[in-house]
Amino acid sequence: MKLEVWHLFVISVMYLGVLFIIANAAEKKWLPESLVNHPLVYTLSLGVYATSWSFYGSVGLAEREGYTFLAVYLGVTIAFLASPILLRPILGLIKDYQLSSLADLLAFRYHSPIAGVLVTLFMLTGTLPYIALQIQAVTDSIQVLTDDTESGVLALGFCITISLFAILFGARHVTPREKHEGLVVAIAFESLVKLIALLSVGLFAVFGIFNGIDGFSSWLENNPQATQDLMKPIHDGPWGMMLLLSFSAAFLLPRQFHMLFVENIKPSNLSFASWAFPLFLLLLNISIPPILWVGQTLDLGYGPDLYVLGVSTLSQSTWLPVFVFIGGISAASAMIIVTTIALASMCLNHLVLPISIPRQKSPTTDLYRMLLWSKRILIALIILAGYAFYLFLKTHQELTDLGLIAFVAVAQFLPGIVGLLYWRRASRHGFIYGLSGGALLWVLTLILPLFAKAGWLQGSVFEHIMIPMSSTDSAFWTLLLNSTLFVLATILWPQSEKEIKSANACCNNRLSITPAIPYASSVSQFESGLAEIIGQDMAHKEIRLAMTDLGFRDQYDDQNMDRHDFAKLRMQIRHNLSGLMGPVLAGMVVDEQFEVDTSAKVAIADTLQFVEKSLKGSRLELKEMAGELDSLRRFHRQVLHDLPLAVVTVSINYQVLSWNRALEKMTGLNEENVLGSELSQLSDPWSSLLSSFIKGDKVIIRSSKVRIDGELIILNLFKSEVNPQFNLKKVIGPTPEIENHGYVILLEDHSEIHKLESELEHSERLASIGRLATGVAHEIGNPVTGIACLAQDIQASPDDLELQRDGMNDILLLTERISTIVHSLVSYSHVGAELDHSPEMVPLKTLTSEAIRLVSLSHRGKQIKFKNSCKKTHSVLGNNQKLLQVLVIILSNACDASEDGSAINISTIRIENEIRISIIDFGQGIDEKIIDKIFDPFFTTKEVGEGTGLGLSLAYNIVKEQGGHIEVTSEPDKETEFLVYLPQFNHI
Amino acid sequence: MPKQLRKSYITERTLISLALVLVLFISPLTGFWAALDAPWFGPYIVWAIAIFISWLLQRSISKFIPK
Repeated sequence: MKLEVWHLFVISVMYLGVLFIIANAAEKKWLPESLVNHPLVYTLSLGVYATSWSFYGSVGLAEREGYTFLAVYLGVTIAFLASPILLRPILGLIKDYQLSSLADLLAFRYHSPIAGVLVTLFMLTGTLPYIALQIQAVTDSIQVLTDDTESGVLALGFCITISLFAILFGARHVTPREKHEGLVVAIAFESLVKLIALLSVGLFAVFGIFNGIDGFSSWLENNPQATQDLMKPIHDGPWGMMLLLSFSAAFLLPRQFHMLFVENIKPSNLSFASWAFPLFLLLLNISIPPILWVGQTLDLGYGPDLYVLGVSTLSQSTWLPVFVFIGGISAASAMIIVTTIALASMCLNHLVLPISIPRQKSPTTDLYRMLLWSKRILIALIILAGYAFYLFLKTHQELTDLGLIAFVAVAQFLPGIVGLLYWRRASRHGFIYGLSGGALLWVLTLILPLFAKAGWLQGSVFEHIMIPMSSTDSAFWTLLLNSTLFVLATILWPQSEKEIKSANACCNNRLSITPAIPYASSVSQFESGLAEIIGQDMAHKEIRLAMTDLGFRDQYDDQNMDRHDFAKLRMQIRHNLSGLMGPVLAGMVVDEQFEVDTSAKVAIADTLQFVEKSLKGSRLELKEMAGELDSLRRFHRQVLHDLPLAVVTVSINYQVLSWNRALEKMTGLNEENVLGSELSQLSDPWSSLLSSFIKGDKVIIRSSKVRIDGELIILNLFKSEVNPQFNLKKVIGPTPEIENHGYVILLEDHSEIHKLESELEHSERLASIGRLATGVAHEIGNPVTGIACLAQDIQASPDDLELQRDGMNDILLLTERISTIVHSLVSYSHVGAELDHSPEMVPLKTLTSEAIRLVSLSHRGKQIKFKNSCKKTHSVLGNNQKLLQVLVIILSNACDASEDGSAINISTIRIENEIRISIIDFGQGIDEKIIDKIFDPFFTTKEVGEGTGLGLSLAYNIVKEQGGHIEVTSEPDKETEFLVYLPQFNHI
Repeated sequence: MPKQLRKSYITERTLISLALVLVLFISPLTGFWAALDAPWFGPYIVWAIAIFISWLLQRSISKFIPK
């Protein structure tokens, strides 16, 4: 069935009608918000990139340049891959400063109205051929389907309809803060139509023409040249330059910039689009090779640019070509609508408003309405200009040629974007000269040859000055000239102060520009100042809007606002106006109406700069210090944990804060099980031991006995309060109260040392017994001799009963004497079966008598007169055997120091809770020089072999262990007194 | 993670991904996937790999990007 023109007209109108309905549904919130804001909708809306060039022209480009046509999309993939460092920073700037176009962005960065004008004019010039391309594609497709060579009227109708759509749904709001959801959803829908249409043709080519995958594969096997023709240009063609051009086009083309940044509702959608949009493009282009090969094989009679439509006409039904035609309409209309909206915004802000905005407004002027209608008229004018361009071109142009001209044009903004994001020193002059040079060469190499081809330049001077070359060559030379001029001019003309601020705002993590202090010091002053430019009503709205944006509540009045608040208000007004009239004009309006207090501005700027620098420096220092402190903390914690001494730290509430490895080993309790527990919750004996110690007054407890699994261990406990406040005060002076203090307890396992000490004491006792041996032999020998004599007497007089009775009594007395001596020796030399020598009551009279008896066994002891004046009532708390050893040691030394026949006096006295035992001899005394050393181990004044030097040292340790202490005073050649203090036994 | 570290992490990951994709597209490696006897869908496979790298990148940095 052959279609008529009016059929296609009706179909086009109906399709655009569907678009109207979809856009309206989104605007009226009939569609769920989750759908409208969905990242997939945003991603599909970016499909506006795929215009008629992609839809129809890709096949043509593949025919001529093979797979180089894919570079048009692979560059986009690279740009979106780099979105975290390329697209997202631009998106941040657009949102922060409410910019609405690339011209706004570059004019803001380079702080130059001329830059804005230049960008707008160049973009307009570069894009008009592209708009003409879309119209041409639509008319070409009509010609394919209807054989009607005069489709100009339909093209005009198409332009009028999409102008209407663009005006209604693309210019509903004047400020970029309000998004056009309807437009976004409609463009996303169009992308979906394009995708399905192209995939349908591709599937038809494979399954309808090649008879399925197998047929397609066998055709490829029989025609290897087909694949080779596609592959070859990748090696020989302008592959790299095409990648660069599409890389820049991906975000710098007006329609891409608009949908990507200006209509972005959620920044997070960009992350999704970073991979989903390239995937969309891949799916869109997967059909191109089969369609091309069908077109080449069947010789459709159309140029390769129209193979897509031509292949679809091979199908038996009409729906496929109609659907493809709708896809083409989608591609063209989406591009024209979004491009004109973006261009209209640029033209309004940078061409129209600066020369048309009246200096004085009446209070009733509705500037919003004026701006809105200006934008709408501009949209219509731009589409009309595109249509005129299409008409004037007359001769048929390759779709690719027109598309690449626009690509080379937008690539001229790449150096400016590099300066915007990464080169803070890039200057206004550099950008303007670079762009001007690149644009001029672009005109000479691409535009003039295009016009010459259309027959416009015949006989004119332009025909002689133009430099025809391919688009990719032009791209290389224009970018080279552009970049060179950009760098050179930047070096020659440094930035102004305002440029530096703008550059910092763009490059330095979007650091806000320092708000300047205005002279205006009341909200009403702001309102009246703004009303002079934009009218009373609009001024009121803008002031309220700015205050809301700043978080100033409605009741915020002049009394509550200081100069810094007014500086912020001035800055916010500027941002908001920037969305309405562009950053340059907004800056001019604000600067003119709200003059800045220069002195305050400079002062605050300097101060802020200083504070910023200081903060930056401090932050780095603090970060380093924090790292070091953390390492130190970890080190100390590890030291505590690995300490061979058992350590537990507890909070003021007696909760366990740390429990080190040695303590784990000692107690068998794991750190993780006890951390956070209270001491009272621990298992016994640790609960009672630690709780009583930490709550008690003593800071040290020695030889505390604990029985674990039947084994007795001896512990020394040390306690210390941890008070960080105390240490902090010492270091940094007074500090706020810190409640985080607690205690640290050290537990020292003394069992081994205690055992060794006991063995040493025992050895010393045995040594003492050895020294007593002669005396003992004598003491025992005499009674034994007496017993022998008595026994002989009894044997000689068996009948003398009286003698026998007396003899028997004497023998018993003598054996009792021997028994007493042996008992004393055995008792003295006895070693305890275990470490546990619990303290007991020790009567001192008995103890001293026993000691005198033992010492008297020795030869020296027999020569001394002992005077025991101890009171029977005096008893001490301690270990009888150990205290006996102490007295034996001291008395033996006293005997050794005394002359024969001299006396040793022993007495006791109670002093408060202690009993003092005094042992005085009247011997040679101790030299003052050595008196401090007599308790040191192995110190002796005796000859070698006569003493070990351990006696007094042991005595000192034993007394200390029993909770007492020893003192000594001496007057040489007169007397020496040992004073042993021991805790009194308390009957109660 | 502090802001500066976050930014540097994102930049590093992006640059590494970018380098990988550029090696795929603009290097002698093109001689492998665009060889004259390579299958016709070879370039699409490479493209899909680049998209996969992009997906991986977004996945790895998503937690550091403010919503």
